[in-house]
This record gives sequence, C-alpha cells and structure tokens, in this order.
Amino acid sequence: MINIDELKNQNAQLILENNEAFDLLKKLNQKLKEADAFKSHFLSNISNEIINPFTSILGLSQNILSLGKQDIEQIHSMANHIYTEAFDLDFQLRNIFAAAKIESGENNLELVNIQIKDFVEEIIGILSLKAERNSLYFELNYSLDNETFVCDAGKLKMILINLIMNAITFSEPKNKIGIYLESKKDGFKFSITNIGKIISPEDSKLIFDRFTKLDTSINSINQGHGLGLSIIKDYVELLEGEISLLSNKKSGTTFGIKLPRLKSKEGDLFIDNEDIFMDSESDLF
Amino acid sequence: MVELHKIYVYPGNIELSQKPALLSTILGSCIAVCLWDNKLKFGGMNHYMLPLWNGEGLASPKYGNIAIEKLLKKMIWAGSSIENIEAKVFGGGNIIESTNGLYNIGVRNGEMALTMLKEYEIKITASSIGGNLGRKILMDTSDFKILHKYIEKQNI
Repeated sequence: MINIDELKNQNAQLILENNEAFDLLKKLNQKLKEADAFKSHFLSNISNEIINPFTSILGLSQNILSLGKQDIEQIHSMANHIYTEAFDLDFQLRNIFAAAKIESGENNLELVNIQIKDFVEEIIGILSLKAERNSLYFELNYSLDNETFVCDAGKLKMILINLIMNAITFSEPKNKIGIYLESKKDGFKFSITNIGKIISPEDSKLIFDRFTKLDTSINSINQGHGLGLSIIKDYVELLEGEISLLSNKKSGTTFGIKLPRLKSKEGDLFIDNEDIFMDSESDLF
Repeated sequence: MVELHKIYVYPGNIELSQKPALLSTILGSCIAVCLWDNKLKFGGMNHYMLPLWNGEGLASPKYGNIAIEKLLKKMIWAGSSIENIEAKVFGGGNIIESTNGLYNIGVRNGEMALTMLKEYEIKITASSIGGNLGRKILMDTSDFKILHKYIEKQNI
C-alpha cells in the first residue's frame, strides 16, 4: 500500500529542493554574467599594474645610469623607488602564479618547522617600508614564545603577506595595523586589524571570490587583481584552518586565521602497498 | 624491484605521471577519477570535494566539473587520444549523516563523475562509489591496477 501522507511529505521535500536548486542556478547565472565583466577588467588591471611599474623601473634605472658617482643621494632615492615598484610587481606576480597553480591542481603541502615569532617578524620587516610610505605603523603582540610550528612556510607567508598588504592598502593614513599572534591548545591564531573602510556582511560573502574588488572603479587607488583573498581561502583550507572576519566602525576590520598543528608529513600520508595488503579486506580494481 | 615514485593526491589536486608511479589518496565523500591511456600506458588521478564550481573562490579542481576536465586535458596534452582513455571512479561515501538529497555531497559527487565521463564517451572499467564508508586507494600508473580498501569514518 502506498501511504498518501508519506508521498505528500516526499513531494513537499522535492519541491523545497527544487526551489533551492533554482535559487542556486539564478545566482550562478548572475555570476557568469559578472565573470565576463571581470575578465575585461582583469586585462586592463594587468596593463595598469604590471606595465606601469616596469616602465618606471626602466626609467629610473636609466636615470641612475646617467648620473655620476657624486650624486649618491639621488641614486639612493631612485633605488628606493625602484625597490618599491619592484616589490609591488613581485607581489602581484606571485599572487597571479599562486592562483594559477591552485587552479591547475598543483597545490601540494610542503611541511617544515617554523620558528613562529621569527617568521612573523621577518614578514613584518619586509612590509615595514611599504607601511611607512602610507604613514602606517605596525603593532605586534604575542601571547606565545618563539614556538616551533609545523606548517607550509611558503603558503603561510603568502597568507600573511596578502592579509598585511590588504591591511596597508585599505587603511586610512596615520593609523596602526595590529597584528596579534596567539598560541592555542590546538593551533595558532593570527589576527590582523586595520582601521579603514568597513566591510559589510553582504560584501564579506563576495570578497573571497576571484577578481572581486569592492571598489571596481578604474581610478581606484586600491591596487590588486582581487586574487589575494581567494588564494588565502584556498591555502587556509589546504592547511585545514579557518578564516574569520569582523568588521565594524568601533574596532576596525579584523581578519583572523586559525591554523591547526599539522603532524602528518607527506611520507606518512602515502598509502603503501604493504599498508593496504596488511589485512585481506582490500580489493583489486 | 625498482622503487616506484610515490605521490599522495591531496584534495583539490591533480596528479599525472607519464613514468610508472604509485598514486594514492584517502576519500570520504570526495571522488577520485582515475584516467588511463591503454595505448601509452600512463595515467593520472584527481581528488575533488564538491560537484560543481558555483563561481565562488578560485576555479580550482576541488570542484568535480573542473577537476575532471583538467585531468582529461592533462592527459591529452601528454599525448593521449580520447578513444584510448579509460576511467575508474572511487569515493562518494555518505560519511556525513544526511537524508536530504540536495545536501548528500557524496552522491552528487559520484553523479558528476558518471555524467561527465559519459559526455566525453570515456568507458568506466571499474568503480566503487557510494555507501557509508571512506576509502583508501592506490593506483599503479603503469598497468592501471588499483588497490581499494574501505576505512571507517573516523579515519578520514
């Protein structure tokens, strides 16, 4: 016997699922439309942010070549400009290559021991010149010793540099950028706080998508391809961590990254022949 | 015996080896599609977590539609003809207790593999999809032999 009530229930469930699927489809359609616009934007961004720095690097170094040895001060200031331009260029290119690597499925973990305090201080050292130019300063706080932490150093560096670069870019001048490092029982937490434009709850859903910049005007003073946070999201996922975002007028914008202590090395992860043959329950396909 | 090159396939990754190698991975609700060229005797494996890229984040191979297409493209770049490629599909266990069809990721992951491979007219020569358990697999890229073992949920 077919139970009518049960069928009704199933039907209601199916209608519900259908509606949800339809909503998803509508959203996806909208995103596809936007993707096309992003693409053309991306190309103009590239010419702005890759060709322009190159032009200034070429121009500045040409100037240096034409100067005499006595003009050391001028040379020094030009070298400073070259360094900044090259630094930005390097950062942008690294992000583009990192995104390309993730999208091609070549995103392996390379776990090493990191002295966590030294590691973070080194990154801050790299970025301090950039912060000074924007009249910003760092405030670094720890609730830990210089502990050893097993992580993928390259990926952690990309995560932190991207977050701090974002904090620098979106800060109002003469503010501090707070960096807080916490040791927890099950891992580490990095928090990066800046004072500037607030990210609304609706926007906080969008910012992790690739090529998404909240300020899309071509004259936007904010550089970047909108790749940083999408890379961070994938890297944090690979490192089995979590991202949190808190943004309000009172305390500014804080991105938190919580990473667990990873134990497994690639060698341990690998499933061996002997491993699988150990008991008789394995099948051959 | 010559020690074979060993590669662990992380979630969201694609590995392909033209030299004989061992590819291994651990699957819960994820799917690994293994492709193999029966003429040139080499192959590769992907490991995806979700069926479809919905435009969020990067278009990475953690999504089935992207992972399968990229693995196939890699095979073709490496010299395969599509008519020589065969497939084996594993994973898609319902490890997260859920009865709601829409959210049963394992089943949807499995369907994505079957649908896409059918579209490309790639023959599936073996598969172990669904159920309530996780899986460990180990593939030899030289002869396409795959060792398969069920594992309990908590080991994933």
